[in-house]
Amino acid sequence: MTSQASPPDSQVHDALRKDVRAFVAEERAAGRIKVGQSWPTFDREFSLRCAGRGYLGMTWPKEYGGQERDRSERYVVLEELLAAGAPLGSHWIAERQSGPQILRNGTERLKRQVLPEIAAGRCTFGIGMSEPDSGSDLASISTKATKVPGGWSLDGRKIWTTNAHHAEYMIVLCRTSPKTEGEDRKAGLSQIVVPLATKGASVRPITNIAGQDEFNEVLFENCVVDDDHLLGTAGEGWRLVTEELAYERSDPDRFLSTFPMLSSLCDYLARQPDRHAAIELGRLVSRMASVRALWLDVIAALTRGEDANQQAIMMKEMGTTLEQEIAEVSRKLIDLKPESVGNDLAAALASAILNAPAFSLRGGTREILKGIIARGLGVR
Amino acid sequence: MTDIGHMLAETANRILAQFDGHSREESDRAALLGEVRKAGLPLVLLPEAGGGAGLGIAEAAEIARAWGRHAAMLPIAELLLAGRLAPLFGGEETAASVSARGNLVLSVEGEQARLSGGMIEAPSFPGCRRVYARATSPSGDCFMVSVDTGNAHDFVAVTGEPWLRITPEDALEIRAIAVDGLEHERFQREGNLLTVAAMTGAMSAVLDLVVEHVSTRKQFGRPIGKFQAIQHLLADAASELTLTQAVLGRALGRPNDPLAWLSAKAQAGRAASRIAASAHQMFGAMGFTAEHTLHHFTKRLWTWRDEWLREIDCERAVGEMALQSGEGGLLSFLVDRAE
Repeated sequence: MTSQASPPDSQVHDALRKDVRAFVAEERAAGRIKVGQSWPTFDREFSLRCAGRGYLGMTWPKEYGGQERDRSERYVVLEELLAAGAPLGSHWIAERQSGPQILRNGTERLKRQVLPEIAAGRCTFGIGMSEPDSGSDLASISTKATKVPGGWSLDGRKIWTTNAHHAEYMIVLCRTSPKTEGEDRKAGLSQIVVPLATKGASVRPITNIAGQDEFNEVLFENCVVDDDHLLGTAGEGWRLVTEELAYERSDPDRFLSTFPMLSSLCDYLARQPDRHAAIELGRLVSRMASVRALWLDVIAALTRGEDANQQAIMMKEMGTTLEQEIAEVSRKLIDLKPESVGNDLAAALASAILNAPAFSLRGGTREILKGIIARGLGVR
Repeated sequence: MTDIGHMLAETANRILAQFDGHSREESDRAALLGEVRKAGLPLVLLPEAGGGAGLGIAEAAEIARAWGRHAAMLPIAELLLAGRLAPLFGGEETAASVSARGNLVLSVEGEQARLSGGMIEAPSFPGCRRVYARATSPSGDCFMVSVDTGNAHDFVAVTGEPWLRITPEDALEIRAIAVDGLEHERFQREGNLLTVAAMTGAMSAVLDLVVEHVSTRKQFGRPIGKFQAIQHLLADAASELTLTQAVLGRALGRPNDPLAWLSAKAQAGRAASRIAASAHQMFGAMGFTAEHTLHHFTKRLWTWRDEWLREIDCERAVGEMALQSGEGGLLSFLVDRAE
């Protein structure tokens, strides 16, 4: 990885972009990218094909199954796959955050066991953070891990874990020291990698309003995992989880989730263009171009080794608002009855409408993000 | 920002620091104009061969940004552009303003040039005698025209500053120079980008004022900035500014990408409306007084968002381009762009 790296929008990456587009075209022609799907949609076979194409673990060390390619190249691949609405749910979390988290903080044995599996597209991870009583207030979690000979015994409950019912592993944020109130509430937390096939771990799918089984509740009852599944050292979990969350913020999924809808809207309006529609579309597209410009700035700052956290959070907040606007403008301008089941524009519309509320909830609720931005301005 | 950009911003700030009274008096405006000319700012965009500084739009934007930060009382975008265009008219004295409007039609009857089709509107300044504008002939050839302001009708914009309106029939001493279509495009792009830069300066000044206010103004026993409602208004405003700065930065480096500058101007308009409204909300009645400094900035934001290309016309232009991108072509439209 060089510091002279060309940004994702440079023509240097044209060949790679073409390659991903060819892949997308093949997948579309074979009916394997469906309307209403998005990056959380689970499709193990799709992930295996992505891996075969060299799209997973691109920046990781070769010794762990990676290709040591530039970060920009990964972004090029992401941008194209996300904009196409490809079903990336089988590898998404593993590849973009769990894997890097293990790479940074895992034991050698754990790294060698897990990372090549992720890079090969054979491994799904769940995020074990939220609990029924702990959503935005993550420090209040109560799942605990008690030390036992050779390992840790977990007890507790995690919720809203995307695709956990398919996952091989989950990184669980847990208490390895008792909870204290006041300033120390963030102390005593740890992250432990839990193989979900372990005795004592059980997964219950939760159906969402769009009829999808993406969310899950995961129960741990005396679930014992090996010592070397602990990330970092016990008690530094808050720092680890903060780093993990920051790591995901520079990815373009937060403004590209509804790109397929926007593209379909554009195609629909082009059949009978009018002035009003051009203005509405242009408002969305110019906003999209602006958010993309901010995304490129964030990446450039990270490449220079600078902190870009404030801009990344702003990008995420405005990106998810844009996604909701796309759904809203689409339903206003597309004169079709939305249909919950199907593979056409009417189904895309239904999917956009039904999934819209979740965009400003998942991975950081809007109101929390605004609070963080306000803190960055010095008023909180 | 480049070193030269820094230097220009510093020069502009140094000059403007002497004039922060926001005075509308012609004598004060004339004095500021004198300082601006002495520092050579109108020559920034003129090529070196023509006696200018030979700098680019990114550097000129730093002057405009400083202008916006001070809510200064001269039309900076127009002065910078007029400086670049003056040699077209044979080194005519740069007592010219610039009209952003683009639908003038130039026809020649014998020896006489005539204008029709649209209005000429330009911000005025002390000693302004000419206005430059774009025009096209009925057959589509591109021109830059220079007209005398003798018959202009004066009016006052929302900012309280004097403007000129010249109807085509009232255009005197019309001089026309043929240019290519690229010059028209460049003129549009530069005028809009300089305006966006000025807007980001004004917006950042407004945000600084607001942060200071909500950190010090106490109600209910605490600074009002401690209330979540205020924090969220502020977060939205800051995000809009950051977004505008990002797309402006991108557009300044991409002279052949109309999506970039059109998006920048559209986004700047959206941000300006949000920030002006939120700032007035957070400043309460105090910020609504003539005595308070806020309105100098918010009035500029309210006018700049619809100067050069109006916000809605930028959105429409982007939409129309997108609608031409073909079935499934939106992704390529967005990412495969010439710089």
